Amino acid sequence: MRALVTGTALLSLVAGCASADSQVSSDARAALTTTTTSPATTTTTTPSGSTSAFRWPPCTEQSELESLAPRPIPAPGAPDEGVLAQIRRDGLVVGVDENTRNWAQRNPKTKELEGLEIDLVHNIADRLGAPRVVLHSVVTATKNKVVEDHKVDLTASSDSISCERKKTVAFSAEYYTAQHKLLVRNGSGITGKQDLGRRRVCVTEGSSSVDLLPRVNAKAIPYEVPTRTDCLVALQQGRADAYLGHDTFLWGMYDQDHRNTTVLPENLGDQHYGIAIAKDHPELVRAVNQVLADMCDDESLQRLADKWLAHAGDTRAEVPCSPEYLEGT
Amino acid sequence: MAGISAKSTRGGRERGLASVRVQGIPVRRWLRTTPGRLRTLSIALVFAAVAVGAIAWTTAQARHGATREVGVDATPQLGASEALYAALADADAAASTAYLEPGNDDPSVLRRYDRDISTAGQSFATVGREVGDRAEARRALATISKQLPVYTGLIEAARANNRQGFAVGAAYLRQASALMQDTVLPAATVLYEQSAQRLDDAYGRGTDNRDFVWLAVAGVATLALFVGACVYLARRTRRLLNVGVVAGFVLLAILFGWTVAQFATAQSSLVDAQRHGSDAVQTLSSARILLLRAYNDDNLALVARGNGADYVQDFDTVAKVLTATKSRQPGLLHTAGAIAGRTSDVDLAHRLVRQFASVQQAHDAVRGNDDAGSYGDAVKAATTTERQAVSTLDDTLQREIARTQAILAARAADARGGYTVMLVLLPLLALGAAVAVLAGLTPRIEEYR
Repeated sequence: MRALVTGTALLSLVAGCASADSQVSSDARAALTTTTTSPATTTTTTPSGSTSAFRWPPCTEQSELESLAPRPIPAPGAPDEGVLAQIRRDGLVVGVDENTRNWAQRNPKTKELEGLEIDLVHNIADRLGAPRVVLHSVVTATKNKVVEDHKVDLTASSDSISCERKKTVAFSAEYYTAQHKLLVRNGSGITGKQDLGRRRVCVTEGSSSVDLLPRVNAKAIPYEVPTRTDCLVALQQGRADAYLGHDTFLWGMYDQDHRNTTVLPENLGDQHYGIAIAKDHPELVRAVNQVLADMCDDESLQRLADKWLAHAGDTRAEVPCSPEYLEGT
Repeated sequence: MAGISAKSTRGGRERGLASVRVQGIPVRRWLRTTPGRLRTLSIALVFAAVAVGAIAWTTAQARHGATREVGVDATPQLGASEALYAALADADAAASTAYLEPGNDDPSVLRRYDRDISTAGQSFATVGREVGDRAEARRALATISKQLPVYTGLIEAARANNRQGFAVGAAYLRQASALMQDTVLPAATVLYEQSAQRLDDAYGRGTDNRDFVWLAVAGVATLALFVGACVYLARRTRRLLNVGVVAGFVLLAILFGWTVAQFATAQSSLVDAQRHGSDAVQTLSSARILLLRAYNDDNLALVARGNGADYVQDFDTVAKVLTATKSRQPGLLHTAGAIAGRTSDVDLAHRLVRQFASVQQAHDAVRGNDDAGSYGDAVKAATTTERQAVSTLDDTLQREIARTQAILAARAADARGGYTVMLVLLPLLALGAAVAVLAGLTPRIEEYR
């Protein structure tokens, strides 16, 4: 009998050792719920100290579009070269949008970036003496932040000059005047801004259209998306009835779905495009303004507009070429 | 000893019993007579035999149910929900790869997408059949069945636009991928977790020691009772052994020994199924799911131009879980390799880690090129070297998952074996013991008439 008891105890012991342990399994499952914390933003390059003392005059309604007067582009090694020395060594780092047909778009076939703004920044790089152009993709909500943080030397991304944006970045002279317009879905019954009441209107996050929409029609319901092409998707999927944006990219959207959409002719407000540059690099602002003035003189800017915009249904593809400069600069 | 247990069966019912008379004698006095004691003893032995038989039968029944659950229901469900998740994740990776390829229509990538979608459909049917009526799982099933057609529709819209050179195709692809990553895959994760939980629960029930202890106590007590009865009878009846009681003892000993042996082998098969089968399957599956997610992150970072920082961040997070380079704990790949390596190649863990190192290297090349503005080179690296490295590791993982799944199925089948016969014979053994006791004791009782 003692043997029996011992035997049973032994068996229980063996069984106890061999019982199921679900630790491995629950660890494996826990790994699947791994989530990402929001990315930390870091500054990659430090501003060059020599010119950071520059004081920008306050921005007013009159001076909103005014930039620094151009100066002849300093020669390599000149004492006022500033950030240009770095650009001539490492190349011009540029932020561009890549969702805007005819302005800056990744060609779905070739995977290359192409458009007016891509050609423009290559022109600027050549004339500044940069050995190459490094293109970084940005979206509306980040395009000025990357300039402010010195992740790029400049952005050319259908960026409207405004006193609000001038709080964080500087702008070149205007290189194009866009107009706020509406792209509507055919059959939506919208013929003008008066029809937008209680309709869903797509706007891009962080764009000037977000502030403009309530002024265009106070009863319109905003539908915000991160990138510009998302608005065309929203229109095609019936999640929005109209898209409020610059005609510059509305025509590009119209190109991609011209049977089902219409750009309404009504101009809801002018938008003046400038190239955003860090505020502590006034020498780069002056140099870029010099390039823009030169491109107006030799009509190469107009030729870019002809090349990229004329065919897109946009018949008013004329570059302004009447730059405004701050007095005494 | 027998006298004590006979008394305890009377319990507190003495008052009611006081007026009862047996063979003309008040019951309390009769119980102290030899025939009274023998009658009590025979009742106790029969009761003990039936009781231990019933306990053995119900625990065997419960364990058999648990091993069936492991082998017949939970294991196939785990396999199907893993296949569902992997097919969905791989479809998304294939869709984004197809978009990145110049020309957008590499037939092999398109075929991979089509195959993934059809695998997902098949696995979905299997999971749906097995999922039962838990609310969370039903909701997850409904989400997948509603959103998967939406997803494939968006992918087709993206493809159609890309073929015409419209950049809006990328927006459709991003929308599709967001739907997959934020809605469909989390639902598939719920199903996968439920299957894994179900398997764990079944293991728990199949290896639960409480019912084992109960059985052991009841078995040992019963056998002791029989031994005591033999000793008592030898003294009372001047016979060395009562054949009936000895036969009952032997039958019960067989019943008890058989049950214990069956439980022990089944339990060791179940533990083997878990240690060498499902632990490996689950860690490998999690690693594979995370690998596919990491590769898709890299593709989407290239597709989502300018908005891809979150994807790059996610790759780093996932890579950290897979390799755990910074903390001292081994990463998921090493753990999975070590567990699966128990039954094959001891070097498996290192091989997995090495293969991921080439994925990481390719990823660094992709990011390096993209950050330097060479998008074309970045895409080339992503669709050639990185894709190659990912598929090498993915192939290894898939092979190991299939191999360990086979081990799991085989061990689970082993654990199930033997129960059917046992469940039929256990009641017969217990009844046989009871009959033998009565047959052995009734003539002895009647000798006192």
